[in-house]
Amino acid sequence: MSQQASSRIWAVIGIGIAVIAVLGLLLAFLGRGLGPLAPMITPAVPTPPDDPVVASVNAHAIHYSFWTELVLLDQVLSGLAGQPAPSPGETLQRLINEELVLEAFSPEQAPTEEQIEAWIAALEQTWGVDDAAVVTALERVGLTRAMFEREIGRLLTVQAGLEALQSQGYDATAWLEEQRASAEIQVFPDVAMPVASGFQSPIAMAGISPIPTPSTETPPPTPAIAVSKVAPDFTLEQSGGGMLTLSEQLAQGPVVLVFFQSGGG
Amino acid sequence: MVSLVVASIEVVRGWCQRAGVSYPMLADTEHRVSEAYGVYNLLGDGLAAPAVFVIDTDGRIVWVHVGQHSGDRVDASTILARLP
Repeated sequence: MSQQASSRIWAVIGIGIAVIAVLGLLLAFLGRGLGPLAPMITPAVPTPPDDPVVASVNAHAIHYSFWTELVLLDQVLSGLAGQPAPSPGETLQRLINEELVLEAFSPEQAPTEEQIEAWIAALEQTWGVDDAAVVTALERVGLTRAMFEREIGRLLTVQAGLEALQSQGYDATAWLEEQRASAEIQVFPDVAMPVASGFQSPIAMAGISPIPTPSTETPPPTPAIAVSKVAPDFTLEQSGGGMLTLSEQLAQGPVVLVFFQSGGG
Repeated sequence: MVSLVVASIEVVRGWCQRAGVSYPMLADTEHRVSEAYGVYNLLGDGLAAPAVFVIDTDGRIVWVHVGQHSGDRVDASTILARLP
């Protein structure tokens, strides 16, 4: 995984915590017209009846319903914080990273109800909204305050795990890269892609002009090069030292080029 | 055989040392080669999809397999049968 990709993933895992710890940006979202008469927004992609597994981390399955709930929550909280919302794919990667942390570090004690409420109160103060406004924003996309509380509790547990990691002298980014390389991680694109490509921001669906933010969506990938096409030449640094150029390898014979998703193969 | 991974060279070397990899593993740090071959982020993970390209000495691609998920790979005998 490139440093940029790991930094991006680390930023996303931080978003979950940063969103709940953001300072400064006052809310414009709720002030722009959401209120008790605002129409209910429904997610673009309903949950299939069998609630399929969208990804797995070692033995832990991440189900469709859990993922889409978190995507909606990320959208709502990012809107309240005035920050660009992560894409559904980024939310899924965050869940995978959080699962790796939770598997490795179990805190001695789960967050208390008081701790969770204190965090929620701090967030609402930062956003300049009252609890009723947050509940309204959640309920407009089919979420509940109870679900919000559960997620805050889960994020606080992940945060405790990260603190334990760092207190033991680990570099969190390097640790996470190693965990991702050695873990059995599967993403099931047949399940995930319809959501990732078809999901719309609740803000956009409400027809409300949001705070202008840059798009966080990754451009759609181009199809793989077809048979009979010329293979693009390239030069890259290799594991054994020095650089390797494809055309130089081809001068010695045919080449089998293998792209690995991770170093685990 | 030449392998590529979207990762830094430091991470690639770490993997190779741990796994005892004997073939060259290249660090496609900026994912430019993965993009050029059309396999970058196909699974929505910011990485290269598992894929195999067999290239003849004229520089032409004679066979392609792109995995649809993490475990979707081809075995060595299938690749050998496709060598020009």
